Amino acid sequence: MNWNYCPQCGKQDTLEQPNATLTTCTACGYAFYNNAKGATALAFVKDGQILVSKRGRKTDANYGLYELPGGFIDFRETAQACAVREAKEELGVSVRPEDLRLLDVYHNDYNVAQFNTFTIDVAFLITQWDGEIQADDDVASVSWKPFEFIYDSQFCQKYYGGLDQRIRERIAGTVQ
Amino acid sequence: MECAAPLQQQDQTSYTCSNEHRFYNNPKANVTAILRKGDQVLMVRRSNEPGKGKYDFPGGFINFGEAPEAALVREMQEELSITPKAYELLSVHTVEYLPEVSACVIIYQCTDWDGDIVMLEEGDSLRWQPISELSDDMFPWVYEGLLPKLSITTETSSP
Repeated sequence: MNWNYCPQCGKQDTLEQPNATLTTCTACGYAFYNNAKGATALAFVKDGQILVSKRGRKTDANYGLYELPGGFIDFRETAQACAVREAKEELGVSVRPEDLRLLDVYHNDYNVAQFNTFTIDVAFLITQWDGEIQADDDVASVSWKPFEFIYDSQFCQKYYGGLDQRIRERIAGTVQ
Repeated sequence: MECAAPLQQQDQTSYTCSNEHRFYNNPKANVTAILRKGDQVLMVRRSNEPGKGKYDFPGGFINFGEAPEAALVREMQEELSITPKAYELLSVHTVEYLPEVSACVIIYQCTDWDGDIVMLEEGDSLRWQPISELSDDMFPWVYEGLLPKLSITTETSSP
């Protein structure tokens, strides 16, 4: 963590980082584990294409690059509730929890500036929703792309290898 | 923290200080394994708080930068001295690990592994429990909707 003060005793310059996950205080023994954070990634699929959103907030990580819609899971929120909330916030559409199909989980780098963070993205396939998809919140625009676009250099989530295959399996019904 | 100003809670997840430094208390990602032997699953009695003395499935938090499947393999090696061979993602749950820590628990069902199960850390007792005898109140926290899913998997996987 890029912290200067211990969150527990408040002393300055007493923090050490033995590894990428752990930060400890030499004065009071406080230990903070910066584990990966839960997040969701929404794979909206229509006519053999996947929806990607362009990141629209200049101060955020990966501004101008493409990603799957989604976001951080709130405290005590389920991944399913987060997916429904993010679909509404970012795309303006309603998704029923029972229409979320779990695809897989992936890690994702969100390690910039004050967001010294890795996420674990719970990916859901969505083929049914209510409403017209429109870019909202921190999304600049949305577009439909072939599944292989997740491997494009303009796509910022680098660890989604195999997601295209998982989507195809789910749609074909070979995976429950 | 970045500065010495105290954090004020803004909503259930976010905290901000007067200098606009932020802290987001999102759920921490965790991997948990349901090791299967027929219609039985392995449960470990927790030797540490939270949930000390209660039985849970083995698992642990995902490190910074670690892939979920790598975390699964590491945790099983650290806790049980085994290396998972055949496993698949079963479900994802949010649980209240501590009053101030929510955990996003990613559950893999594991049907084959290398090595003999030896309890190395985090637990003081192991047992193989028939799925039909599992109940939500055995666990230190609630895995909402998990048990029906496990029974369904048993039925479809039996010959």
